[in-house]
Amino acid sequence: MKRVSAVRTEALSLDEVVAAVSRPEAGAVTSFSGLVRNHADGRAVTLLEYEAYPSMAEKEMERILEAIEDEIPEARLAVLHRIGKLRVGELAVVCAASAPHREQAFEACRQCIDRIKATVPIWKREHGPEGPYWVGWHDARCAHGASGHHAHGSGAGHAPSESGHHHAMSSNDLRLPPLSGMAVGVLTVSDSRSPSTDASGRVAREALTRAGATIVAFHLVRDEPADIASWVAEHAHSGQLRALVITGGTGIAERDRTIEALEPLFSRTLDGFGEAFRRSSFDQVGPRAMLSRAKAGVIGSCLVFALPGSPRAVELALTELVVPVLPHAVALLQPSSASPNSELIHAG
Amino acid sequence: MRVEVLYFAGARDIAGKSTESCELPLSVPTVAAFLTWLVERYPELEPYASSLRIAQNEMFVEGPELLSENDTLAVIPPVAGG
Repeated sequence: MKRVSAVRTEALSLDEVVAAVSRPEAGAVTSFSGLVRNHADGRAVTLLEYEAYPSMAEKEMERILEAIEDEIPEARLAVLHRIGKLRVGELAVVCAASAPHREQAFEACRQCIDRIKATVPIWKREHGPEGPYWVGWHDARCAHGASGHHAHGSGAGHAPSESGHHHAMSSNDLRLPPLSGMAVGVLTVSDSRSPSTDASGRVAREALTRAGATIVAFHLVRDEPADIASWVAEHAHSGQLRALVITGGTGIAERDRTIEALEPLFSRTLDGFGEAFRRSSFDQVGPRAMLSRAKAGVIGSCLVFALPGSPRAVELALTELVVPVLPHAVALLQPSSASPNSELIHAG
Repeated sequence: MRVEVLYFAGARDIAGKSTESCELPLSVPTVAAFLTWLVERYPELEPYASSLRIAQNEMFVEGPELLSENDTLAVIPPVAGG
């Protein structure tokens, strides 16, 4: 069955995407409708003008649906995005997901709209009493202009549209989350979990999202080194991800093979991460911290962190170690910032 | 090297056009070099440079990616769909 995924100038119908994913084996259908609202951060909005790079937008939407259906194999997705001039209350985007059970359908639908907002080349111009305004454009200047404007292609390169909804942020707003706009991926390695029981993957996604990062790739694989390595290599080299967080498979049991899968891929390793993690972990669990082989390294220009499968360990590693250092580490990995002094600055 | 450059949203407002055909000098072999070249051509883009992404033939690409003759390079401001 051909997927429904398109950019249209005509009015959208939620029924169309719901019908496109409905099938006898799917006991759950979830949907999302994005409507034009009458305000944005205290400003009145009377009209929204959506513009797209239509041919690329449709390809990007198709790539997103394919990726999610690959990650949640039971799910089927459909999405339609409208462009042109829209009035308050009109549908700007509709998406639907179907799956045998509701957990997969909710997850697929949420992933779909989140990724569409993060990467599909569509823009909107608000029209209100203060005149027309490209959503996100002013923030782009404010948030990133001051911090070295030659950091091309940096992880801050595509603020998710959420930041566009908050243009109350002023140019020197220090409340911007530390990973604002950074594209990251999460991989859960487990023989036993499903998307709905993947507690540490959920904790990782939540901690990264809370820090302002955009999750552009998420997957769950068995403890099979070849499967782990191929997904990691593809995503780390895609150029889209600044960082990748892997949870699971770092222990010493026979099936714990994440580290073995990653080691051949690392161009360099960050031994300090494992040391710092086990030091912090020691405070929580004592000598058992020694049994974790948590490790970090660089693949392409992507930072990869392999964390244990325990939600508590993931929370600890991300909030105390990864998030605080990531902006600086990502900047060091960008080709444009490779200065002879970078390590000196880093080493302080 | 001849490339087709597309501008969208705020970047188009600054460039004053939505598309142009450009002859890139030999000193511009990569996406990163193209962005630097672009900012020299349109200095008003400079404050936004770190937030611009480049799509090469409808795929997002990063700084080290090499350019090719007849590429379509799209200048992508922060997206705001949904």
